Amino acid sequence: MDFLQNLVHGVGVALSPVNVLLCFAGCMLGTLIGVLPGIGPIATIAILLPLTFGLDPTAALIMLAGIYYGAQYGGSTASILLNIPGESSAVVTALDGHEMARQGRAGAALGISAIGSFVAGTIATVVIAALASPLASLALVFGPAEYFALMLTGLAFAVLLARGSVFKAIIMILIGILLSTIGPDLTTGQLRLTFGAVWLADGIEIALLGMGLFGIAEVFRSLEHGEARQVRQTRIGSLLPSREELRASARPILRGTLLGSILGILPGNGAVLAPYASYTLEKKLARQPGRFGRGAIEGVAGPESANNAGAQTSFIPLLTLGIPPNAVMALMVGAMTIHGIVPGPQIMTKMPDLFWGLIASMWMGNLMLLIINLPLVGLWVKLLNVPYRLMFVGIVIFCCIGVYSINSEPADILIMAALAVFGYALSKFNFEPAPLTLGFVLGRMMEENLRQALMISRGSFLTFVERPIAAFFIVLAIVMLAVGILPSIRRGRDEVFVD
Amino acid sequence: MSLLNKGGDGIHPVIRSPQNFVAGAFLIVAAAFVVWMLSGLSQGTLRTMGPAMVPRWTAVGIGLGGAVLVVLSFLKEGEALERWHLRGPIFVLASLVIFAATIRSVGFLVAAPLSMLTAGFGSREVRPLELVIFTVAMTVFCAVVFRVLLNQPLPMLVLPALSIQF
Amino acid sequence: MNALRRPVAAALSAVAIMLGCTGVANAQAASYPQDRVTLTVAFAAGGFVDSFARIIAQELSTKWGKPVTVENKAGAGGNTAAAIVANAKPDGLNLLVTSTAIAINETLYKQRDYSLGQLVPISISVSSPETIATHPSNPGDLKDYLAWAKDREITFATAGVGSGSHIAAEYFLRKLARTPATHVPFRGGALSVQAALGNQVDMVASSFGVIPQVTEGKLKGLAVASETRVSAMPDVPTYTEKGFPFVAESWVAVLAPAKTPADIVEKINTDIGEILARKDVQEKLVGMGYQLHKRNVAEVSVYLQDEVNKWGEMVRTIGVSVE
Repeated sequence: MDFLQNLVHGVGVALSPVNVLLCFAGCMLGTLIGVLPGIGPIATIAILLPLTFGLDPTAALIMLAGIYYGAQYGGSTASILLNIPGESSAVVTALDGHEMARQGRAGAALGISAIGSFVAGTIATVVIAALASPLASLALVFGPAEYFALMLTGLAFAVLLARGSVFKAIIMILIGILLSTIGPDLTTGQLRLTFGAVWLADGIEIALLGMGLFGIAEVFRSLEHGEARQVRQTRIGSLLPSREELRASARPILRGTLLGSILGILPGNGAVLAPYASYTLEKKLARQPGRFGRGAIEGVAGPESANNAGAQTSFIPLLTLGIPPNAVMALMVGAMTIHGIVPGPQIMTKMPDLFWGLIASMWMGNLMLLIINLPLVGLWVKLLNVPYRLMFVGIVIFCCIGVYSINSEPADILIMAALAVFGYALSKFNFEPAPLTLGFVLGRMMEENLRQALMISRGSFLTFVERPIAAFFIVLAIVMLAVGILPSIRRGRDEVFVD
Repeated sequence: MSLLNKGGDGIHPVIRSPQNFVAGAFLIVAAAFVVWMLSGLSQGTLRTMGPAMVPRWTAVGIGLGGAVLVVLSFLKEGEALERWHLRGPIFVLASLVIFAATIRSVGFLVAAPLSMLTAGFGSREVRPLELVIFTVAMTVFCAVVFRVLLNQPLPMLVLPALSIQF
Repeated sequence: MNALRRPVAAALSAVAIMLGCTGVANAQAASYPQDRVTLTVAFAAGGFVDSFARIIAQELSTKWGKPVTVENKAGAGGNTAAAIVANAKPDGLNLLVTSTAIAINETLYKQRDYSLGQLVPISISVSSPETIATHPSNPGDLKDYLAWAKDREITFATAGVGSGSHIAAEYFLRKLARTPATHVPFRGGALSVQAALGNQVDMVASSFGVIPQVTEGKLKGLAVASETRVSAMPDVPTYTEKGFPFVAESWVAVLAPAKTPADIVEKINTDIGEILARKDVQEKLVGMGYQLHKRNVAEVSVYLQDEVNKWGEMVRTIGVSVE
């Protein structure tokens, strides 16, 4: 097996003491910065990028990859502990993760998240090593029509994401789509729904949505109850997931890894769907779907694995096609550019050290995460002992700094404030913000791909039927919707449990 | 007698689910507002869509959803309106506005303490002395981490009168 | 109370005035910069303009011994950042790093919060020609390609409405080649290249973004809009060779507020020039398909004005505009 030989070569590169150290340092710093509420992976990488300037390209990329994994994991930590998702994947983690934390199981949630990420990372590394180039060319059959159909399926998932009323979930998705259309229209450049305000002219950042709708709105809710609602201190001895919890998580982790690996390969940012898809899948497969949203460990294990696998395989389009599938990968392109590397098909052949070293270091990075974070779990959980009357002040200031650091735009803080009020209102009317986030993330991509597909087909809707992959996903979307809606129709009424 | 009051004195209220009624009404108004805002943009045709197509029909969908909620609120028993606790949100929102207003004009070393001190009073259990100590510590911590260690473009102190800007 | 306050205030303002004066008096090139320099980048982190800014930021900060930080201020096609720097203090500590957009937007945008006159160009040293490319299964010679395109109304992908690639390609197709085509805008250059790699669209217009794909044979380069061929892809002919005299290049520019002292502008121009003259820096940029130009401040100014006119003419010809 050729790739095994290459992988061994890569491990050789990655295992040089300097590179091991850099990978460790990257993971550590990434985790520490990423855990700050309001600072997502993109911000973390941008902040730490200058540290890698002085290094040689391979070492720099290894360190950056470490920073990326660290930042992702740090973000999950923040959203589990404090319900402050800084990006769309962390929204899913927070659903059950934060619920677990409130029940005193923060340690288990953090632990399973690290373990799941590690397993997913390991498998995804092998996938990349073995199949990177054939998969990348396969992924190119995805054009705008296919992406549109895939996103449609994703929205159908979102309906199942809700724990309450399906009808309200659909309304939330629509609101998410509507929010995503704020800003310039891609096809004509005309501004939409901006009130003529400069600071809305480029739309709303997903980080604002996460911090406002979830983070600050959660602060509002918690303040109602005073210390009583504070996340409970973890009991001694339950810092890590128990044997049963591990057993319950095993299959979700594997399924999540599979989903994430596949979706991550798509150059059009398919990875964004992975955690949502995994969550929905686990909820559908579970014997008691009602546990989801109330602290089900599968709801953390699956999406976290899916997210990490997707994060890893999204290197495939970057390294083999030179196409960065998302903002983080675009930042990686920038980092490579600074080191004089042009990402593209030639990397694998012309710079085998870099390519295989980077792949091997992905696995190492995941191992580092496990090593760094299992001991840190105790520390993070201790952080929860800070009385809430001070904790929320910290959350507020970190969110301010985080938002300001995105664009140096004070108005963004006001947008976050408005979203927080909206998020608080949603909870008062028993609407859930999670489907809104997915609608927001997918809405813009859907509209753009739909219009591109129609331009390419010269206005013919048959393109969605004639192209088999597109047709498959559209049928799947309809089936998913039916699966989501029928049971609640049969029940005659929606369950409206609120905690 | 309020329309929304699920009064316990035996009178059957017209609106059986105040929560759905208010939410639905809000959605209808919001959707109408969006449709009005989009009135200047062309919708195009299904084959060649204009910029207004997707947002307009999404808004229409939201409005219809709101209408369904309003109708349901007359037919189906539902929850009463929940109480809004205003103390937390008011102080926290004020603190966000203060931060946004002062970060560029005066700088972080003033913006952060001001907004943290304001936010702190959002909690009923606030202890002023403790809050002051926490605020000072956090300000120093953030200044060191973000400005000194991470070299972020966060204006620290801007005093034009004294030509101070760093 | 008041009696006490007044002298204190007077003393303070005296100090302030003195501080202010020394600030002005020392604003000479010799002692520049005395403080942190901020490069405001008009686009998000990760793009080429950003990478260029970060490369020179690092080198300048070593050279000057003062921190040089990069601040990304993406928005309104680059106008947000331009407006910020145009209205910033003209002390040489606030610089703008932007692209061809600064020339295009003069004509493209109906309204902006600044005017180009509020800025002084310091350096325009790297450029990459606009290139069109197609999937290898399509005709690879420009003449054949246009003949093939005539009867099928081709689709072409670009990084977005009003991008240099869009304007150049549409201008070429409509005005010079008289070939009807449908523009399919994507969000960013990378996704437009992806659509061409998968043969979803008939053509992609981009600048340096297609070079790795063309050198690897994943795409066929039809023509580059430069005077001479690009060294990174020597097989791709220029438009001129193919009978269409057409030059359109995307570049990166460094600008400052208009009132920045001339000697500081000179100094920054010289210092950037020295950095770009270094072999290791050159190798990086040339490897990506960039061409380097040595221009002094006066030449930069003339070049920018020419570019404003040239792109303006193209924008008006194809009749595109953005709010």
